[in-house]
Amino acid sequence: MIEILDYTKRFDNVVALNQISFQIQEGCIFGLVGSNGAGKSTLLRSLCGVYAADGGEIRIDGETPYENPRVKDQVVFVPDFPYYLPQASLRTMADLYRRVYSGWSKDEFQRLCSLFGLNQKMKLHNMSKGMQRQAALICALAAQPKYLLLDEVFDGLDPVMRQLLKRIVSDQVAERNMTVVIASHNLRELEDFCDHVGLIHQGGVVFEQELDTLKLGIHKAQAVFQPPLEQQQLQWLREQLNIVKLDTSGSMISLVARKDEETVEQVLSELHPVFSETLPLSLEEVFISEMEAVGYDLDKILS
Amino acid sequence: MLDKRRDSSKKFTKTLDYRPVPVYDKGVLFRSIHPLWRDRGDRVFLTLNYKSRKPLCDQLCDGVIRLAACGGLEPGEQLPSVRSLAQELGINPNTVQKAYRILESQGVLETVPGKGSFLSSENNAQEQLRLRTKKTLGVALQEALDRGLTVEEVADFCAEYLQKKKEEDAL
Amino acid sequence: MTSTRSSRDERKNGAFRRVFWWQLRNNRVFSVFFGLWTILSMPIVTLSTILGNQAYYTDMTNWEGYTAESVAQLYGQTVYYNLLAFLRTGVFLVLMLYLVVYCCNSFGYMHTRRSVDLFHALPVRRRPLLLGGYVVGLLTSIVPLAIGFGLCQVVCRAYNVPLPNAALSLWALFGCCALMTFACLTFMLFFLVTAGTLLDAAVSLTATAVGWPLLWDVLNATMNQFLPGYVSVIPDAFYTALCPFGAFYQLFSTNYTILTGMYYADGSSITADLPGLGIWSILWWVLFTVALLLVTVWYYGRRKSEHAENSFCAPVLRGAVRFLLSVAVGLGLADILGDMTNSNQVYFISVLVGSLGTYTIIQLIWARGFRKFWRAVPAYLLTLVACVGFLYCLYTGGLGYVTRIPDLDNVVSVSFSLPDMAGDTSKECYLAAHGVGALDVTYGDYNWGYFNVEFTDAAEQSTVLALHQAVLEKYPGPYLPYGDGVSQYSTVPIEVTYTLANGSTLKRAYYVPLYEDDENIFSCIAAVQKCDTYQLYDTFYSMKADDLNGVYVSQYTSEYDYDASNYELTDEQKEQVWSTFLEELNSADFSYDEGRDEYIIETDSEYDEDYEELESLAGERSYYISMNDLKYADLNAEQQALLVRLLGEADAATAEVYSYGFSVPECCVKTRALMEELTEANGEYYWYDEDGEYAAAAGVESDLPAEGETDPADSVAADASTDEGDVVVTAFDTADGSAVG
Repeated sequence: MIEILDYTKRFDNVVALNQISFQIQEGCIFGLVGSNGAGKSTLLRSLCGVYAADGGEIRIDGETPYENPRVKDQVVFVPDFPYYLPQASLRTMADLYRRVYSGWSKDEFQRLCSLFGLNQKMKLHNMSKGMQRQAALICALAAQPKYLLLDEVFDGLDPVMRQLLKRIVSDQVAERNMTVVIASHNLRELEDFCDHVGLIHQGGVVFEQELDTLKLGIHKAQAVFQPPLEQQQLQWLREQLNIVKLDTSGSMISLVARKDEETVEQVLSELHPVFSETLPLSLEEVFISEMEAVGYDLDKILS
Repeated sequence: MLDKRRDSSKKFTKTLDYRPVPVYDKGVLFRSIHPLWRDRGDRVFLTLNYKSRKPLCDQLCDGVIRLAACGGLEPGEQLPSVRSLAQELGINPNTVQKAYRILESQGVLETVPGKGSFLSSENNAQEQLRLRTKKTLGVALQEALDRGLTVEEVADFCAEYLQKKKEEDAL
Repeated sequence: MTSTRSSRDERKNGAFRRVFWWQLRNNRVFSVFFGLWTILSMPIVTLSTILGNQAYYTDMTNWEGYTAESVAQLYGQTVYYNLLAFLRTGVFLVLMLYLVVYCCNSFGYMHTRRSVDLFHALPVRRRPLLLGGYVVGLLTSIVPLAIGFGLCQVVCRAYNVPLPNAALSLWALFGCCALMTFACLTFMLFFLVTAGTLLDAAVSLTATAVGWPLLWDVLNATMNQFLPGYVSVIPDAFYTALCPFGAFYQLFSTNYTILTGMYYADGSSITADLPGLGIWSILWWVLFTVALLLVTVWYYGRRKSEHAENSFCAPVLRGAVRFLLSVAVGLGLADILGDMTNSNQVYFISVLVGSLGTYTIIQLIWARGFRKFWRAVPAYLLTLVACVGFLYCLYTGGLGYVTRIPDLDNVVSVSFSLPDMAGDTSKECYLAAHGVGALDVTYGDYNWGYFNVEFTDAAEQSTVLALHQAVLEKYPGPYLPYGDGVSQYSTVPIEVTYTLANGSTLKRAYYVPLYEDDENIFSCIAAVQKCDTYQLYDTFYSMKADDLNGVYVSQYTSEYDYDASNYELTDEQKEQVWSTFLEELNSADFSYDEGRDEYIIETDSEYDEDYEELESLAGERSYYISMNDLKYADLNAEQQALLVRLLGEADAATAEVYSYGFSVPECCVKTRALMEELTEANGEYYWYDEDGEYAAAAGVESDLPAEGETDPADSVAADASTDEGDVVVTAFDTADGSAVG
């Protein structure tokens, strides 16, 4: 389990992460969302022991990862632009991983190479960006870590490879209870794959929750009332439905409420609408609503 | 098989070997036309629609229930493991796990520790499906009423429709 | 997945081992190239030099008069020196190149963010990560060297080449090479770790390696410029104290041979000929390496990953390097410009401009722009204050350096040398001028010694002190480097070295030009020269007629050409010449001419190029009596005793003292006439033409133009100066007096 307790990270005078706290359970696929510069990459790098804490601590399986080979052995980080040694081939990089990671499996490596269709001996700098990324992923997956940290990795893959990656990751999660933390600003991608999501903004956590709970607990509705609702009715609606957003235009109202579908339907029907429709929100819409609720300007977030 | 998997036009729906199933003779027809899970443990017959707002978990449940109800799954038949289903579909195993748990709580599946999950012999899927259908009907009716149809209009429409269906079936 | 590592120590060792093998594999290409090159080239070069020299040194017919041992010694030395020459370029440079490439390849990961992300995320602690690479670097550079040296030794053994010190030289050299490789690698690693980018590391390293020797050189030059009498107080080893590359290179210089404190089994000292570093140098480099390694490892543990690609890292180091370089360049530039313009204002302005300029440039490079420049200004002011403070110290006399004269009671002995001119016209002065007051002795088999006069008697020492004091009075201070103040230019200095009661020495060297009005100094010099001990060092007091060799008359016919005539005297003629000369020398009318000093000053060290002054010589003749070297038996009793004291009895018996000839001054009319007569009648006439060709015509009559006349064909308008140069203008340094030109 990954525990982040009041963790702070500074670079010179800039505070990248400001006393963030949350937990990531084992075996879950955690989506870390935020705009560019929010601190996602910093957090990931702190998790894998590259950065030392300036305040608070991080605990992976009860120990700090910084300068801790036992913990780092189980954590592999794949950055958005993976590094490869000069003149290295996939085989060279694999050799490095093999020597340092105890979980390295040669069979797994071979299998992944053939699945992705990469030539082990070809020099990495001759490969395309996408293939380089695949190479980094292969090495990371073949090391069979307990915690896999992916930094905007899906974004650079073509849809076929993306699907392949998802399948492989799912396989390992299911088989070994691997924990995956995916940093991305592509919510649609995460929506389908993650079971937990956390939103980071300007170094702080806005919220962190299980995805299903999140989606089941918030709905948007549109309803038409003839005659249009009066103020006290609207007020009653607000109280009943824990409204996040409520807009009226003439006889139509649209609202976002933090309630499950049935409650919303039921409450609305008590007012006898001419027409009403309740829909779940996409992840993107959830986030936008939440952010607006907290007061952040929508444009700055999801750029 | 491989071609189907890589067919990018089917981006939003994930289908493998799914063909519409006419339900007249579930026994022979299925066995001859559609290979069963028993033969190849990693084949999946479920459709997932990524574009729909419905959570994947629910879609899985619905898919299993529908298949069970229409006979694609036999009572006592073993479902693929969480791992292989997740791997095949490329989705979060936790989602699959959750779906299985929900189905189990609804009595559709039975889990034998160490062996796997099996379709419950009581064929509760059918029951579940009926429940869901009724619920959908209820929603439609309510909507009709909300939109201004009177109770009598609704009742008349239903009667007419069902009568027409009966006549068609008789032919 | 299933490997178990229970204890942390095991894990730590495991990590180091894994990094070690990985770095070895990572660098295998370079290591193999370097290893093969070293292992193959060294024995091959040895073999080729042996084969090339074998015939010459083993065939004794080439070596008449040499013993077999000395030939063998020479053989071994030749082979050894040839090998050294190869090591200097073929091995040293390649080794440096290899180290640079190795460091960049193995430690370059910490200078880009992406590579740091990879390496610092690996399950390896920082220190094993660093040390693994370090040890691999050491092994891959030192092991090939060891093998190379070993193979050289084998080859020499196979061909029976007697290496100096029975091959200990090779192993001593290898030991020092290994130590210096250690030092160089640690030095490079230190800068790589303390910098954020490769550029910064390179700049810092170069600035230190170049700036340190430069700084001390410049400080030395500055002190020399300011302080009269300055003798370098900075020991040689200091210059390369922070530049291991320089010290390493010096190993291969044939002048560097001290390894004190080691002895053979029979008690004879190995000291003299073993190559390498002195004991103190070795100690220094060991300490240097160990300390730097510890600091590097410690700092690497503290170094944050985010320092990669960030140019600010280890601010203390950067401040030190910046300071060092600013001072060095500032003072150095000032020295150069001051020399060119001979102006004090220019000097001080250059100090300011140079140091500020350097400071700015370095800051620009490190900060990549002007952003943080203003923060560095206080540190610059500190640098400026340090410079100004230092210069002020010098201005006021170097904290008493200039005016320090020991008490007579404290002085145990003083040795000194005088300039080759003096002010008065007495016979003593003349003799002193020709003799320079030092013994130039050859003894034993090709040994040679030059002994300055040394006084141990208190009365005599007081004369030297008086001279010292008189010279100091010429430099009252405060002291400026350039300008119209008393300059410090002359070719030959007045040097004094006091050995004091407490064992220390005080050394000064005054390059003071002496003018007519320096009567005080002249009288002091005369007083010194009148001392008995001083006269012991002058061979004049032992000479007899048959020590003469020949007479030589020459005349400049133009700027460049002169005609000369030389004649070796018979015994009778020697007697004749010598007695005539002595008579005139001892007469009351003897006067060593005045005015020649001006001439000398004008034609100081630049006289090779200032042929205009030599115009004044055109038409003048000079007359020179050349002497044989005096053997031990030829000297008087006191001089013999002196030689025995200086050289030991055995060597003194074989000693030959070089004897300066006499250029006969104008007042010795009779001697001159005699010399002319002899040469005209019997002389071997030869001349130098424009191309410097020596042409001798045997039997051709001397065709010297008459005194005062010049050869019309090639004369240049002579200055109507009354300077009469009786100073010898060419060097005569062979016993038979023939000019070497």
